[in-house]
Amino acid sequence: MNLLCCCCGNMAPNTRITRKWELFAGRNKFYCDGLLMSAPHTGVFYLTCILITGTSALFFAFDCPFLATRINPIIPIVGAVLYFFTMSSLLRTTFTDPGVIPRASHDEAAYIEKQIEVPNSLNSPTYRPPPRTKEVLVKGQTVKLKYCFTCKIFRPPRASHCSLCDNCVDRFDHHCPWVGNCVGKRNYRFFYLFLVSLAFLAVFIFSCSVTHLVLLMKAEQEIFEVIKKAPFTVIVVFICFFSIWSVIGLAGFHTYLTTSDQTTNEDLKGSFSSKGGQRSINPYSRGNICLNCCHILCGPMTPSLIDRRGIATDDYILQMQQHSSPRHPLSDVMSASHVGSSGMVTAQPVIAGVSTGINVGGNDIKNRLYEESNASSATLGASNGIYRPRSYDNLQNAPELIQPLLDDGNSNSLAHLVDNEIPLSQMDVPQTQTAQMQRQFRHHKDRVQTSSSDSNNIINTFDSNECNPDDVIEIVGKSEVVVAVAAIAATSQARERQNRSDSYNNLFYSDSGPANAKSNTLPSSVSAIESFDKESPDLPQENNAVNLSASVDMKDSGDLPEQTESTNEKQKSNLLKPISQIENVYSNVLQSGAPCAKHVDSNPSLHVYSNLMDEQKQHELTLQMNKQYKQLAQKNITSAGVMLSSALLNDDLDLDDPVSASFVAQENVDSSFLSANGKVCDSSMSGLNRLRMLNNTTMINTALDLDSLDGSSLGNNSQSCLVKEAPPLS
Amino acid sequence: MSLHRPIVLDFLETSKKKMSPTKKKKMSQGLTSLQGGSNKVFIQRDYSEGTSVKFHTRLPSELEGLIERQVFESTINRLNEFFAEAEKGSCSTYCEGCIGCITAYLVYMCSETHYEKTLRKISKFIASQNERVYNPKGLQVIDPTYRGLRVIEISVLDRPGRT
Repeated sequence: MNLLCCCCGNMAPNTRITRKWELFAGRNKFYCDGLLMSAPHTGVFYLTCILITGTSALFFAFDCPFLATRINPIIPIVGAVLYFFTMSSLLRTTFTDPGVIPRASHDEAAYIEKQIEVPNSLNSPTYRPPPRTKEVLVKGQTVKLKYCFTCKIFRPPRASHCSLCDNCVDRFDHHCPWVGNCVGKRNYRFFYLFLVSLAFLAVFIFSCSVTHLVLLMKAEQEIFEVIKKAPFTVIVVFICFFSIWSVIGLAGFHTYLTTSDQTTNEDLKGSFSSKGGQRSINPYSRGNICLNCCHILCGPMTPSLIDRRGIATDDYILQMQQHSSPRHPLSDVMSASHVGSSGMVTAQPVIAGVSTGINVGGNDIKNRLYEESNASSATLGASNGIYRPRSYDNLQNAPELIQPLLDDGNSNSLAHLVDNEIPLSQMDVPQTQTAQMQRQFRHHKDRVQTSSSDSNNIINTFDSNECNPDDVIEIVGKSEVVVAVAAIAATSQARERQNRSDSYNNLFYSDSGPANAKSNTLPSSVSAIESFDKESPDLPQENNAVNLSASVDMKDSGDLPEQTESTNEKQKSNLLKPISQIENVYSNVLQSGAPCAKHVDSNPSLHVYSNLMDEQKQHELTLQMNKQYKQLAQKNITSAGVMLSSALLNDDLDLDDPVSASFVAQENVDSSFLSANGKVCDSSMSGLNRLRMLNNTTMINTALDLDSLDGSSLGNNSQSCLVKEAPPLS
Repeated sequence: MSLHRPIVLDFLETSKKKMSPTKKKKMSQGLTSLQGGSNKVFIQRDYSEGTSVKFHTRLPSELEGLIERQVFESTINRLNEFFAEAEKGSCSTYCEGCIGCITAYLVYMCSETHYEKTLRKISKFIASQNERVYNPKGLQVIDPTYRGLRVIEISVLDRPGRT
């Protein structure tokens, strides 16, 4: 949806008004030009409708005529009134905004970040993340407000993030699939009325149908005769009998909740129960059953806060686009691609790198750009763990996962900083340096020559990259790719979810943001130096990470058992070379001024792959210990292959999805990697194997990564450095 | 006029996109300083009296020197009063709710609720305050309704003076 708007904004002037619901960040469905909204999946809601309507229709068709004549003509009228009341409250529940709290605009999120920022001493090795909870006093009771990483706000008390709708909902009760919507502050009364009226309707229909059967029994004296005479009445009785208990139970439960002014969420969590001798009283209750009921059911209702039908102004679009950051590069890319390939070269060095690598027409470049960006997001997503739930709420409940959560929080927290840093670094680099860097960037070979001081490893890497683009087209029909594509289907669901999550946007920024890269440079290289100091005291501690990583490579291949963080470092640095050539990350490298940046900068994003590499490398090492250079080249290539498979997982992109849409295209380049892979080390592994290995190892390695993330972890380092280093570098 | 509007919007949007790097640069340069980052100040909600809408009346440090404390506090207090009035459970609001409930909430399609009326009053009040007090001081208060009643956004305009 967002993409659509973005496209419209760039391609052709809008001839119609864009309303805010079209830019809505959550996953809700909207109907009637934003008048109505519901949860993304409404299948069960239709089942509810059919059940209620069907049962009532059978009742009206087969029971009512008999009862109206035999007992009282008022019965059908009462039934009809109950039915319409039930249905209207059901529809009202489903299509009303449950009280979605709009996400913070870019500026507001940045402001919050600034407010909660913890002063970090300049030379402390670890970055202290800002606290992600805030305690407030509500009527004398301490209430913890959690920060919502998706909405970029501290959730108000009683609000909760619905992972299905991907929104924070005020006074969140629960997400009810039966009504096809969240139940929150704004539609709780409808929901409650629906339950109560449905309970009445069910009891009414049940009793009437039973009466019908009893009267028939009196006449017929034979139960089979009765069933034969009124089969539908029997069906209605059965349906009502089984549904009546759950409905009445639920209505009773919600009556209790209403009288005590609690939500289902709070009741399940036991927020106000007497636990551990310390009884916490519900601070929201008005202290009186009647008052609670009145206020919840008849009190003033807050208008919808998301202003669905409001016209999205340019300012609004800008704010929301900056908020969901990864689309921002897209807009640049897209506008550049409109200008044409020549325009792209001047627009961004990143694109220049791609266009030099792949000699194709403007349209093709555009497609490739799409895919590249998609793949980059895929890389990042994978680094975050494919199976990670998209909502951090889930994580927060699990204490053992707090560490990753915090780390994510870090990267999130820095999203804005990094975001802000990008242009800064682009502009503030001394011109001569920039020019030199750009030249280096545009021509890999040039760069290889200029950085001739680098080890042969790197040159090998570059060479393997260089030959890639030529092979791109050849590989398309190969069976490897076909197999990989087949596997996509299975994982596409998970991937789509992961891509959709906004939280990854931040990750992207923090990973690929130049500032971050800059900052990342120092500590990780330092750590690498430290870890290898023991083994190689003669290693010069230069800032030239190229040399460093090269030497690290040699060291590491010598003693692999010591697969510590430093190994990862090295692997990443290897990996990075190919990747960074095509990714946005590269631009950072240039501005950061130090060549080391390109080797370490996108480390966090590559964790998974680097781990994979470890395994592969181990395997390979057993086979060929001595041939380091060869092996290194192969490693690079296999890594590219792994990347490809993961990129393929993200292959079918959802153009509705801003995140995936913004990065559409590293994939081609990846496939170029694969092609090189297929040529150079075809015998090493088949695409399927790689894919499977990726699947098998991703989880484990992610877990390992998370374990290793204490203290000197990469993620932390990256941010710490960001904070500390950004000022001097800028 | 209405036909031309979207096109104008579009142009603005694209031009803003082109301008965004400079804006970002400005923002990032001020990152380390407290004042920088953005020229907007957000007044957060005060939950001390429950979940009803209420905003902190403390003058944020960013606005010190730009506006008198009393003026600011009186504005926020007035806003809080408005919101309290909107959320107050009086007889009339309960009747309104009951009538809505009985008519299956069809009545809301025809008439505005008490809350909506109050919100209208609030935006009117904010507009007048902007005109009389804040704009001359180079500030602009944005209706909290536009920010989901989460915050009051006060943007510091670049050049003080009447706009």
